[in-house]
Amino acid sequence: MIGLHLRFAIYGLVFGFALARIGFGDFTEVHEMFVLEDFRLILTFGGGVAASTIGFVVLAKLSQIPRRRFNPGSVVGGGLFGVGWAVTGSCPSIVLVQLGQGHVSALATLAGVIIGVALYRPLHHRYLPWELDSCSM
Amino acid sequence: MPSWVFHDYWPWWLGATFFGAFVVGIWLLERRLLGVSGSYAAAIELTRQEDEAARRLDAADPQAIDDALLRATLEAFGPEAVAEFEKEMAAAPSDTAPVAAPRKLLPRSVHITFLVMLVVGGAISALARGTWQLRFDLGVVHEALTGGGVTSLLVLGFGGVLVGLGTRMAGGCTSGHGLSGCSRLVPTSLVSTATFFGTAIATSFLLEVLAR
Repeated sequence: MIGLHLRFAIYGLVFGFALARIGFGDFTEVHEMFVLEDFRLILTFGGGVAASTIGFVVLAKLSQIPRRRFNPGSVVGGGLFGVGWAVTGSCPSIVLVQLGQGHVSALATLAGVIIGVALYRPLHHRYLPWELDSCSM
Repeated sequence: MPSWVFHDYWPWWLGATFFGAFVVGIWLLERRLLGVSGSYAAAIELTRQEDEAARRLDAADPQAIDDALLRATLEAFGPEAVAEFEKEMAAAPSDTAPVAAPRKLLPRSVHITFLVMLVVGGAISALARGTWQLRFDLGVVHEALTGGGVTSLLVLGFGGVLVGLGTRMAGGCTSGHGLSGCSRLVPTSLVSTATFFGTAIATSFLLEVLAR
């Protein structure tokens, strides 16, 4: 059994490599997906969801996988995230992939992401009544 | 040999197969669901209060907890109450199935390792393709859409805050809600994914209009 850190290092490496090879780290490709000029990335994502569904159904007992309750923040938060993704070309993994590709300007995005994550929890507990949800592995 | 082996971006079916294998593989190997924004939260947030409490309880000796509870009960209700409780427990059939223990939280350092290695993975990919380049913009399209130069950097910083706040509020991003959630038809993930793709498409068309 290899160590926890080594295993997650490998997962990160493989995921970062593949995201870059798919082209998710390329703002132009991402923008062409969002303005519906090029369907390759959206097919990759949609196909990835379908492939995961098949994998979960065939290889895993779906009932054993914890399901999450409805979280009102998933709508408002999702809406804010979509605007951010459109103007930066970055979701939380992609900003790191962009950095790896040598895009120094992704540091501006990363600074923003870190500030956003750091600010959110105290703001949530101060102003919002529902329980804060996380997808932490 | 097809051009995507070493240079071009992968065709959609290859990327899709990878995502499926990766998400399900992580589940089978680790019994965890892929979720990158969760790793940011775990890496950045100073207080993981609930988590800390859970970990302390995890680490504590169960016998010591039992002893402490017994002492407190004796003090509050006397030995008769304890004897009565023990009699009841002995009489009652224990038919409760053991509940599957929730996965222990990953240490913060594991989340940070995972995030840092995303950078390394992106670098290896770009180096192998021969496209690695130190540059200070995201390409001509991004420059044209967001004003270029310092304005573009400000847009990136502002957009980054939206990504950070938004994914933390939603409790997931493209991986946690998009891949892990949608593939299992989890309602909150389906709604979130539809919303972020919707606002991203609307914003991108708006950028096109404004830049024209």
